[in-house]
Amino acid sequence: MSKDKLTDYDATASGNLDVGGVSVAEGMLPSGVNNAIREQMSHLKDFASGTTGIDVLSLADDDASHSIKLQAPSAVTADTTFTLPDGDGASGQTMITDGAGTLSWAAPYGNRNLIINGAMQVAQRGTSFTASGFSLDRWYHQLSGGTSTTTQETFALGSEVAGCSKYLKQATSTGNDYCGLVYKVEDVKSIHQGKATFSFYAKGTNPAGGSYTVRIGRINTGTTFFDTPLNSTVTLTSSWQRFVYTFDVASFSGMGTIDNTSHVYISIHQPASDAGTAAWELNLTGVQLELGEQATPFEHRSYADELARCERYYVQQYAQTQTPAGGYMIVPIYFPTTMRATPTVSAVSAGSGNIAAGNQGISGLNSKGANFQVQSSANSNYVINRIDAYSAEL
Amino acid sequence: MEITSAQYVVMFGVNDNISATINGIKMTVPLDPANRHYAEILRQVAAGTLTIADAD
Repeated sequence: MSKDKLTDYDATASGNLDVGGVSVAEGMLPSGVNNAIREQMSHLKDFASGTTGIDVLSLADDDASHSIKLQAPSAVTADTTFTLPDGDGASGQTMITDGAGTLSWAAPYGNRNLIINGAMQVAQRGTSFTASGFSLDRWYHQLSGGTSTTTQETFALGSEVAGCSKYLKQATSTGNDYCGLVYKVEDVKSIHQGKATFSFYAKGTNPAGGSYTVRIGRINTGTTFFDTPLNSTVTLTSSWQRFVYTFDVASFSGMGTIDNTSHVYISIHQPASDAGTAAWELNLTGVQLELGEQATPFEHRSYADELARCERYYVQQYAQTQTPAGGYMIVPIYFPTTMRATPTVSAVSAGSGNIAAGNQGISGLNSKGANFQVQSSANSNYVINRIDAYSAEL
Repeated sequence: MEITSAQYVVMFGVNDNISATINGIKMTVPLDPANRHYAEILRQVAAGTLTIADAD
């Protein structure tokens, strides 16, 4: 057999009787030596330039007792060239690809999940909800004519799913179209042109029509959908499963005005074409939206991290003051983080002191804080304790 | 979003916020178009289904 490249060569010397068609067998003509060497040099050149490859690159240790080997997969579907970065990067960096074979050093991936509270840990408003409105932080409980209760549930120890210890349960006793859950990712530009992947873990029972709609839309301003990059379905079973949807995101061309109400609208709900009233139950956790076409493992964040992120959209603040008789007191309230917009205020526990609600209030609202003000009567000395909810949800 | 009342609140001589009852809950709504409650109030006012009362 003709040995035309390095991988054709035999590890046994007697097995190499031909180099590129030139016989190097016992008794070969002297003129064949030149030709054989030239063939070998061309084989080496092909190897050096990458025209022909090798199966394994073995890097032996100093005494050649052990080695580290680099090897291509057994079946390579397309030629791939990796271009290494210049230098060794900084301590703690990791190597990443640009998707076209160029490798570079970068900080380790993190913060890739665009969903806040995807593990359903944070529940500032409470843990059980029956009315339309926000339920567990960032998750909107949408009735749309149905009747359901959304609760925060805890996995039994040892039965956690994807490392999540909590999940959201929407138990619907009377179904209706669009009844389900809604989540809004701030800034429509959070997912840009290319691929994006949405994934979640769920189990439960299905609406009358047998499935839910899984929809992701882009809203550049207000509430009008610019487009719907994902419009699919999911059918749940009684076992927890991960569901993955990879979809194409078009460019922002044609969107026109994009303001600070823009967002990515995500919903899992009873389909628009299904107004059946049958009961269903949706159990959900480990929700992740990320750029790219791979569903990476669910990105866990600590409760503190998730709470801090949630507080950009909703926070409860405590205020206390003592007002002298005939006095007027203004107490500044500083939010733990800058909120998305100037928030709406509603009392969680207003006036839990000895002053009438009409003589206390919130003013000077902005995205960073507010004023809590109290006015006491001429001959009274008042103490006031108050908790307010500040909401800057989309 | 059911808004059953809306009235401006004046601070230092100018409209500071709107005191509104939304879904049965009394709320202080800032005059920020990016606030979803204020945006809805404006939408309902434009539709002629809601009037914002002047401050007392």
